[in-house]
Amino acid sequence: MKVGIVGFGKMGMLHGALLNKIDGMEVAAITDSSRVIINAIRSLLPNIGHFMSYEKMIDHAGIDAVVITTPTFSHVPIALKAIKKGLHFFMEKPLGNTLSNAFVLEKALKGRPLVSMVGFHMRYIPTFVKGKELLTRNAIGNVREISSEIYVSDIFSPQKGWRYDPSVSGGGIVIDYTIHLLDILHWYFGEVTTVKAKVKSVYSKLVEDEVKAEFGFRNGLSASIISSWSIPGYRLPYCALKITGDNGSMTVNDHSVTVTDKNGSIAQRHTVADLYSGYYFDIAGCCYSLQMEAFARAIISKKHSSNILDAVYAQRLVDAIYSSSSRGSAVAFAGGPNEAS
Amino acid sequence: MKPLDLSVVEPVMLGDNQFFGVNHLSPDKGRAMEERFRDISEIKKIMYYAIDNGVNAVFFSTHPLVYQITDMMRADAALKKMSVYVNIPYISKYVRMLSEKGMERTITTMLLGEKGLMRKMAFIMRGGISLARGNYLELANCLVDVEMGPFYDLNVKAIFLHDALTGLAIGYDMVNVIKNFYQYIRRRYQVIPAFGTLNYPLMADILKRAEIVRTLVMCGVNKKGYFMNPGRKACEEEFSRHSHAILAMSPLAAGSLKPEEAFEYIASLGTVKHIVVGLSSKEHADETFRIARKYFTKA
Repeated sequence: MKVGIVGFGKMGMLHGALLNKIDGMEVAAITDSSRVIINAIRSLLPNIGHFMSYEKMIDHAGIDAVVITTPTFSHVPIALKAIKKGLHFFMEKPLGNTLSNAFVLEKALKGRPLVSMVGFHMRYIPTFVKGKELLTRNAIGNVREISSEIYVSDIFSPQKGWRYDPSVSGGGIVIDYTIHLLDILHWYFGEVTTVKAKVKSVYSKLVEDEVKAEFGFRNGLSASIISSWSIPGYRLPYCALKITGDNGSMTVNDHSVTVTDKNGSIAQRHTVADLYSGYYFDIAGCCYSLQMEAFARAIISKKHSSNILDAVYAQRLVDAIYSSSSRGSAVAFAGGPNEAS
Repeated sequence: MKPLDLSVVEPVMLGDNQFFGVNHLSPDKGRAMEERFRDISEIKKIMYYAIDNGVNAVFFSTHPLVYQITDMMRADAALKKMSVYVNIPYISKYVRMLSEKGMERTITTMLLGEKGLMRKMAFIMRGGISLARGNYLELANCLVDVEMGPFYDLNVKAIFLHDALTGLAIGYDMVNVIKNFYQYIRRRYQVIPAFGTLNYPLMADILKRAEIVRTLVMCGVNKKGYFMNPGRKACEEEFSRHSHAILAMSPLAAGSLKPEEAFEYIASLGTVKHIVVGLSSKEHADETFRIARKYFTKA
């Protein structure tokens, strides 16, 4: 299967390298708008086709799938072009810079037997997978309380670039980064019914740098969420959930899962080193390898597979956070499937 | 070129992750460490604990703090004598810059980031000419020199290409990038060109195709198989098939193994003669290095 990459930045390079080492997959073409990148590809990767327009690559490169790793505003237009041509696609999160954009893509995919994947890689981090498994096995009894956080020390002055221009990116930390945690909460605890949130800009001029939110779930649970990219001490991104149940509590983060019993003694602990099982190829974290393997396997086995509904759901949660914050009150979140309009 | 002398590589090295707040098991601990080691004299203490325990080698990435650390080492007779193993580039810095600035501005920022006006001018000329001529391997060499800037007048023994970059080279099968790095480091620095990897069998394969049959390779080696891809057994088998010297990283599997058990396993393989280990207290240093030196001694 031949793959084309649109946007050869760090994520495009990473996903392409991972795909290239899977039997039956091959990066055959790359699109980038930078002349330097195109010249570097021509010089260092002479066997890979290079394009400055994704339309041309999709039409002429003879590819079966596209990896979309461009600034957010262009995700949906590129994916629509891929769908029209009958190509499978992987795109980085978030799906689009607006919810209506996300709905357009959801609608366009309906009834198309294509593999589509949005890059919610945290679902492939072994500790979060283990956490989900322990919850499903009722390791702490009935869940009563959830608190969660996701941080990175990134923004300590006004920034330039597309990420900080909401007309291109769709927003700040919530759509760019907190969205991973929102997806994990949806995955762990199901449908959300109420969202109350407050976003705050600390250093950025046009986008938010922090958010505090409270989710109510259909099953009666509630979860608190705190997220910031303007907090010191988190050179590497960090996400953690603390879940309290009738029989104990569980903390899950990127590094470990720990279950404590009612007396506070550790009942089980699984570190990332314990859960690391050896992967076909690891460049920047096994979660990315597992993600690309899942994408490739679905294409090769011709299994229709898509996480588009989850991706749109996460985007709806982002939208609800922005809308609750601007209204200054909780908003009801329509449960059930996404409503493409 | 003369064959590489790998006998100069020390059996035990002090790692640097703890200085920069990397703790794979406990981010809270990592943050506390980062705070503590902002005070350079704390780093100096740890380096002296290593020397007191007979460990005279230190492994560094090119974290922004490294300028202060290398200044401190040059000013101290004992630290100046230590062997230095450098891992380039400091990948978080590039990842952050690439997200914010894109490729072109990252390259220019790196070249401009060089200290001293004359060096800065020279780098801009050399980098600019390489870029204009489309000579990307020469541009990469230019960035190697930028990264090596802080290590002048120190006893550098080897320069490692970071595992994320060898990963990309493997993924896109860029044999010439690997070969260029090897040749440039030997020619320009006359030290051991070394390679970090999380994927030893794939690394050994690309090295072979780059006609590099014997050098220093750093990869995950530990009883848990952490960072050993595609698996512990496959890596163990591959170690004995090649003549590379193996430097075990994550020997304690990110702190989840006790030193005795961990080092006994690595030594029992018979193929891995070097380890790098990070630590942050005198007690920890005394214990870990004592056990390490029991299993890893200079041949």
